[in-house]
Order: sequence, then structure tokens, then C-alpha cells
Amino acid sequence: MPDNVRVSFDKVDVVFGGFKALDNLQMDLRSGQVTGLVGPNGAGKTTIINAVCGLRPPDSGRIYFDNRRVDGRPAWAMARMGLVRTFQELRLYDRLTVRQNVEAVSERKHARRKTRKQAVDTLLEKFQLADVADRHSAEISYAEAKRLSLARALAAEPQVLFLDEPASGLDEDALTALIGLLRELRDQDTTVIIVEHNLEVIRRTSDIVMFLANGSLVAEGPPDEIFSREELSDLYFGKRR
Amino acid sequence: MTPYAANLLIFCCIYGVLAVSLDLLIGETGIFSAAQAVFFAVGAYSVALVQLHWTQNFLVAVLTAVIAAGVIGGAFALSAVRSREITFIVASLAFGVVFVQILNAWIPVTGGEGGLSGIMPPSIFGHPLNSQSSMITLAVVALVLVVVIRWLIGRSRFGLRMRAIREDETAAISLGSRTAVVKAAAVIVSSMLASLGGVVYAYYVAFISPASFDSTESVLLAAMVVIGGLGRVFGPVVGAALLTVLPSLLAFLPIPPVDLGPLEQMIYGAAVVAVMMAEPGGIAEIGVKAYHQGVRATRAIRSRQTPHQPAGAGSDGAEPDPTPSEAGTRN
Repeated sequence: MPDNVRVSFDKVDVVFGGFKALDNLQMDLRSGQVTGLVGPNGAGKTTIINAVCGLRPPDSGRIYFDNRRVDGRPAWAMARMGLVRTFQELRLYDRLTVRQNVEAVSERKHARRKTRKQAVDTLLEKFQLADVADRHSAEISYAEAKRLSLARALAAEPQVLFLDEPASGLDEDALTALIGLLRELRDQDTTVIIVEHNLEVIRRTSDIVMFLANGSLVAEGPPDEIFSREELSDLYFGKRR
Repeated sequence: MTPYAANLLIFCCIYGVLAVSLDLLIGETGIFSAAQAVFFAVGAYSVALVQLHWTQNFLVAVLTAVIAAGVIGGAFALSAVRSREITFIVASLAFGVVFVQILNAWIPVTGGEGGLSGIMPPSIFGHPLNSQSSMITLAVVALVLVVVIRWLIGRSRFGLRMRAIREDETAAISLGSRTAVVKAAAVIVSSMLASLGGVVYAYYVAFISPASFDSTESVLLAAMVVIGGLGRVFGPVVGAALLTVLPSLLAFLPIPPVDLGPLEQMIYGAAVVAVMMAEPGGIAEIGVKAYHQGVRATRAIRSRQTPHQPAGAGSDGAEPDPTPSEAGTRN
């Protein structure tokens, strides 16, 4: 296994009923890169996140993180190892304040109240949430909720961060800020994996794109190369007549 | 205070203890348990058994009750806490039914349906609590203790973990929370607190039998929590007081005693439905909203009463607060 591989999928199958959501998946995610996962609906993108983060363990095959076999471990253990995710549907703690949403994650890393407050304040400032810190997360705007979802994930101090549709519903300013943040994370040697339907976001953020179809890796390469291949475009959008 | 009122007050405190302990599960952690009466029973039977077979020492009886409730709560938690929502409700209901059957069947220890009698009032630092007023003190102290513990837990990191699970268990576990452990701990702490209600009950009533701890008691406790207000420190206390006092007022109506029980059940049900329709957050939420409205109204009245001052002429010589439009131009 090459040195810079952080997460490796080895012949991973995930089956729902008779449907193979992941089919003999063989894939490596490398450190210090932003990797875009693209593919048509049902390709298995979110299933990959669920499998590697422990919410839906593989039915067969192996998953390695930093050369340690980790498949089958519970989701909390994966998160504590540094495999952290966000959700497409955000899943914020609606009846907690914005501050408490972040603190509920940060408290495991910072036992002392003072350092915890500092860590939470830093994240709230970074994500421009300080002004709404005391409001319930159900009461903030969608863009703020998106930022909170990211702030909460970063409070877990991830080594590999999986983002499920991070750009959906964001305006151009928020999108630019998100792209800046992803580059910053990459520069800090955090491995970032994005599942995103907005291919322009993938093009602007990703160092490498992995194209999935029917639960398998079909192609990988730089964004411009992947997006220029007609057969992949046909797979993504359906064959044009 | 009349003996009748004192009796009501003591029962308000006992049910307050039980409701607050249950709220730790329902209101804070989002776990609906229908087994809280089990830990009420564990507290009461522990006191009775310690006193009848071992020692009259109050502290020993209390510690035995709390530890026994913790151990039984732990066993219950281990078997049921990995399940979610409806399966946990069913598991807890089954646990409560089985426990009452054990109380009924284990006659040499529990006295079976006939129960255990002859429980003497406690003695603290040589002072026997054999008057109704001293029992009021004991009940109030127990309630205050449980409310304070509940409040401290709510402010702690453990409380935050419980609320995260209540809000979204999948998100919590994906962000590193060992939700099964947190839920198990919540069940154990809740069980230990509930046992204190049983302790006061056994000392006050001096007679206990399985009929006092069946599953309808657990449903009544859940109704107290829901009506009072989930997740609020004083909500369950209010709910407990309401559902203890209101049915007792029925005794003053010309209703045959045989009809009182079913009528009480109907009142509980109607009260839950009425509160849920009016304010799903319970009575405590109504109180909180009324308080905030009152504060806003008071501020509005004060601001109208404050004489107009020209700009730059604040009473303390400081620059006056900008108007919203001024504030907007500064930003």
C-alpha cells in the first residue's frame, strides 16, 4: 500500500436486500488531498461514507485506515479515530443552541471548561456563527446551518473529513467561502472527501476525482481529465442521442 | 397545615422525585421508559427489607436503596439500552410487568400480594421522624436534592451528551459519542434518583405491596413529566403536583368511591391531551413564555414612562444608545 494512502477499500460489498450498493469496491483515498466522489444517483457515494464511518458496516471486504483494519468498528470509534462526516440532511441538534451544537462535540477533546470555550469560540468565529451562537439551530438560516454542520464536524478534529453534499443550497459567496475552507483544510493535511452533485464545485475544489457507477470505481484522475471523458459523461447524464 | 394537606404535600414531593428522575430519561435523553415504577419499588422494598431484617439505620437503608436501584437499573440498561425508541418502550414495559410479578411471587422475601408492613419511621442523628411535619421535611429534602442533582446534570458535559442523543442519536454517534454508554448511564442515574421516592414512600406509608408499583404507576409518572414540561427542571415537579392534587379533589365530589379510580385515569388522559394540544412543551413552557411576555411588556411600559432626553444628554453623561437606523449606518 503506498505511503500516502489514508483510507483503503478492499473488495468491499454493501448489500441492501438484493441490491448491491457497493460492489467489490477497490479504492484508495490519499492524504492531503481533496477527493471528489461523483457518479449518478445510486452509484454508492453516500454508502461509501456510511461504510467507512461505521453506520453501515460492509457485508464483505475490508476497510483500512492508516494501514489498520477498521471495518466493523462502531461509528463512535471511527469518529474518535478521526474519520468524521457531515450529513446531506445536516442532522443538527435543533433544540440546542448553535454554541451547544459545537460544544457537544468539542467537549470530548477539551475537558476543561476554559479551553473548551476557547475552542468553540474559535470555530464559531471562523464560521461566522458568533452572532447566532445563542440561538437554537432550528432558528438559523440554511446557509448558517450548513456552516454549523461543518463547524460541528471540525470540532471532532478529523483526520479524514467526509462531506456529503456540502454545497447544495449555498449562494455564490457561501460557495467561495466553502472552497476556501476546503483548501485550508487540505493545507493543514486533513484529507477531505466530497460527495457532491454540483460538478462545478468538484472541479474547483478537488485534486482528484473518483467516478463511481453501480457501486464500483469506474475511473479516477484530475477533474479536467475525468470531466472531459465522454463515456463518463454518458454514464452520469445518460447516453445522449 | 391540616393532616390532609400535609399528606398531599408529601405525595407531591414523592411523585415530584419520581417525575424529575424520569424526566432525565424522557426529557433529557429522549428515552421513553415505562419502567420507572420498578425503581420506585426497589427503593421502597430496600428500606423495608433492610429495616425488617438488618438495621434501623436510616443512612444504611438509603444507601442500600440507591445501590440496589443502580444495580437493577444497570441490568435493565444493559439489556434494553441498545434498542431504539419503540423497542425500548416495549422492553421497559415488559421489565415493569415482570418485576411486579416477581414481587407478587417471591413471597418469603417480598410478602407477595400481602406486602410488607411494620416499617418504622426513620431516625436521623437520634431524632425519630415520627410526626407528619418531620416527614414533610424528609420529603421536601429528598425533592430538593433530586432537583439540584438534575439541575447539575443538565449543566454538565454528561447532560450535553444526553441532549445530543435526544436530538439526533445517529449524528451523535457519528461524531464520536458512545451513545449506548451515555444512555445506560442515564438509566442508572435515573433509577438511583427514583429509588429516593421509594425510600420516602416506604417510611411514610409504613406498608408496601406490589399494587403500588404496577405499570399504571409508570404511565402516571410519564403523564406528570409530559404535562409538566419535558426537559425543564421544574416542569415535572409542576406536573407531579397537578396530577397529585387534582384527583384528590374528586373526593369532595358526590361520586361513589368505586368510580374514583377510572375517573382519575380519564382525568390523566384528558389532561395529557389538553396540554399537548395547547402547548406541547407542557405547563412549564406556558410559564416560560408568560414570563418572557411579562418581561417584554414591562420593558415596553418602562420605555414609555422614561422622559424624552435630547441626543447627547444622557443622564450619566455617556453617549446615548444609537437608534436602530443609526446603528445600521455605523455598520
